Amino acid sequence: MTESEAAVSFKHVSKAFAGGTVISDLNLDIPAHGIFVLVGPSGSGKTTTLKMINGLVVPTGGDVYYAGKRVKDYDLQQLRWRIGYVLQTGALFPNMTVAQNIAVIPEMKHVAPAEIKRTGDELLAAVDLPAADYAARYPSDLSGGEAQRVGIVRALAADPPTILMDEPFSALDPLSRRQLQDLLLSLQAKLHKTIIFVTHDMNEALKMGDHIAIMHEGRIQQVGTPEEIKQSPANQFVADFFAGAGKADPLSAEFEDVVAAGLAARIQELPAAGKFIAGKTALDAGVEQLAAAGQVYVQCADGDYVVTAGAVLQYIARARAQDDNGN
Amino acid sequence: MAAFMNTLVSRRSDLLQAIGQHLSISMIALLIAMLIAMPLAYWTQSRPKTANIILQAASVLQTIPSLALLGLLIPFVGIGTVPAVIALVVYAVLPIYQNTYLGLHNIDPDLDEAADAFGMSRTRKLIKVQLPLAASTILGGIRTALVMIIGTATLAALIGAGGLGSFILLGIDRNDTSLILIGAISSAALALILSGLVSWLSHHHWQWTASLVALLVIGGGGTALYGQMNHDETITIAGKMGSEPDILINMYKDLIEQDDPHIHVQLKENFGKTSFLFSALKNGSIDIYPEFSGTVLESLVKLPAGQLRTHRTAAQTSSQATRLLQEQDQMRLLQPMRYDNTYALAVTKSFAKANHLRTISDLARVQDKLHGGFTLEFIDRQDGLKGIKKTYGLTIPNRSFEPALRYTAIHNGKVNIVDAYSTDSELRQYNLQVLRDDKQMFPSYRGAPLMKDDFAKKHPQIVRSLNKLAGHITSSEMSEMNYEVNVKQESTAKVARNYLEKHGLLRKGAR
Repeated sequence: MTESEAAVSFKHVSKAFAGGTVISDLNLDIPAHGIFVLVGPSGSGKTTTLKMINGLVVPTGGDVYYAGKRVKDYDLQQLRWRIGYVLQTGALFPNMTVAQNIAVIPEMKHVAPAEIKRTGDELLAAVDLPAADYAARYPSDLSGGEAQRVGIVRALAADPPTILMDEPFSALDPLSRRQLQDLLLSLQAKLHKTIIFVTHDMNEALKMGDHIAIMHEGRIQQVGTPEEIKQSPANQFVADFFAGAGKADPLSAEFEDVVAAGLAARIQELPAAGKFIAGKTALDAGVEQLAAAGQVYVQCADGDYVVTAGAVLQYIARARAQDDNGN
Repeated sequence: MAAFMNTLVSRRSDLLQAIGQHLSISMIALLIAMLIAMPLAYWTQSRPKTANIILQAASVLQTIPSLALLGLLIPFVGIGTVPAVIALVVYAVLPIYQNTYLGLHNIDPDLDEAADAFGMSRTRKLIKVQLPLAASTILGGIRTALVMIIGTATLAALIGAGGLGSFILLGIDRNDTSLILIGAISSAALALILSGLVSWLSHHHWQWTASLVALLVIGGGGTALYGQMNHDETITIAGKMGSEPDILINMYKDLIEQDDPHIHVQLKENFGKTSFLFSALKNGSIDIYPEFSGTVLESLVKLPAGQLRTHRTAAQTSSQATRLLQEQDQMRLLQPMRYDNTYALAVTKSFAKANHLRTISDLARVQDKLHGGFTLEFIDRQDGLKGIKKTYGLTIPNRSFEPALRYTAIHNGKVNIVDAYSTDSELRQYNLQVLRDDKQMFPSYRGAPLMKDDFAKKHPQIVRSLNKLAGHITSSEMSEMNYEVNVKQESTAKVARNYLEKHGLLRKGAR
């Protein structure tokens, strides 16, 4: 990758806080127009790395380049208006409505109010939050998932070429997390932004990243596509991190999978009462019904099945056993 | 309750003025405290050590009793509104600083980071994010400060800044519960209303608060400025506690303003005790106040050695007081009025008539019939009961009473002779006869306007105007006027004017 292609480059960057060195001699090129994931355990320096791109953290040594120019040579305000930012908690301003939160950056850039509203409404629609229903609400009236959708819209509202995301989905419940991951991927398919995405969850990294950089103790361990890393981990740490974190969350499997594993009985005659759910439903979405009724009826492409709570437990146990075998 | 309503109605305009003063002092103090505390809190946001020091210092200041603080400020800034406002600011800074600091400090760091990451300038972040988020905490601090200021501002009356405290002080001095209640209730009501207003504001847009405070300040400042512009010169006349000085200074005002309409006289009634007024006159906070010759010799000047116990006639007392003030303090005591505000012995009119009593010497004839009711101080003083025995050779069997109770005692016939001040309104109220001090045993206390020598030289017209009172007003006239104010609840201004008009010193309907 040549320098001109890289959206963001780190050259011999180091960062020390009072407590010690967090980043040492970091060299990294982040390509434009893709999702670049920084993944690593907590304390690995991934968030510090992210925050050096928009100047929230100033490196102790070396230089960070944004679009070929050193970050420290930019007018910080101008730079930040070109880089969207999504925080873990959403961090919507509680004193502003959804619409006002979205307008924060466009207003500073003196975008016409009508234009701000048009863009905002479009983006809200794109994340399934109809403006008519949501624009006037305050953050306290939103669920965690809804708030984070607004957080993403706010970052996109001024149409910045680059967006930084700091563990944007880790505070969400598994269902909302998966929905938002899918939503971000589908938005990205249309928008082609340069997204730099920090997570500690290897599964998320694999799902989201066009490229992944694995960090540990302030150093990059390996950079590559998900496939490359899967195929040939650069060192033992990457291999372990991959294996440990690579455990699929069994609850993210679908009821269809339980059926496919041969753990469910087919039913010929439909019961008079009882709830049917689709085979594509995730296990964690059906947990409450399972707990209440002990079993659920599942409609699959090839017929209807009854899945008991015991069957689901058995499925999870098997999945875990497979993971432990290093699979 | 009826008495309360009467007092309220008759003092309506005084009350409005006092509320105005009270509000303007409080608002100015609050605003200054906000201007100090809030920027300081913002500035110390990122300096927790400095913030801690400031918090400690403000807490220490808070523990100084307000009365002591007012006293400590007098040598530096004198008396009146300025020290009152300073003292109030000192108290108000802590709650405002503390709450502003906490309000800003407790903002979710993620929101702070988000504002930075979105490229907000410091000012924009402050206005759009920090202030709105901290607003309710900050307003809480302002509310605490406001309630405290309004309560403490009642003490401002002690150093001549006026306000509702003057009602309370006057009430204590005149033993008038209605006045005390009016002052206390108004002050409490003011605190409740304003605190309610702030709390209402905290549920609405914070910009409202700013505009309201601005409005109050502009209003207060405008009124003060208007008052300044309308007169060529303002002079300040103060009086001690009580109705008598109050009546006198109203006379001074009428006389001065009649002779020179370009002078505006500002009155500070119930301004304080002797030493306080004297130092106020010295440092220029006030221009004139009525003082008594006996008091001058007793506590304001140093007497030549060996003259401490010398007996003086009224004229000697006056001339010596005038001379010593001139020599020692470069002050001028003008010509005295006629009455002597000194001790007197009084009996009921009927008792005097029945026994043909006119002077103290006459008492010798009825010595065995006398039952005295005296104050402890009178019994104990050399120029009191002891002097009576020595000078007149009289022994009066007696009991001691609280000052107010001895009048009730003679009214109920429990005693038949009491000590009194010669101008007490009770003499008139209980129909008592003062016995003439024919051997001039009691020290003389003759009242006259006191001012700095410089002032007298600069304002010869004022000296002439005030000297018109010289030799006027007898003890019984003064006692009658005190009676009209204290018992009949007439206003001092009206009583003063009636007297002047009646004696041709003031043109009728001059103002």
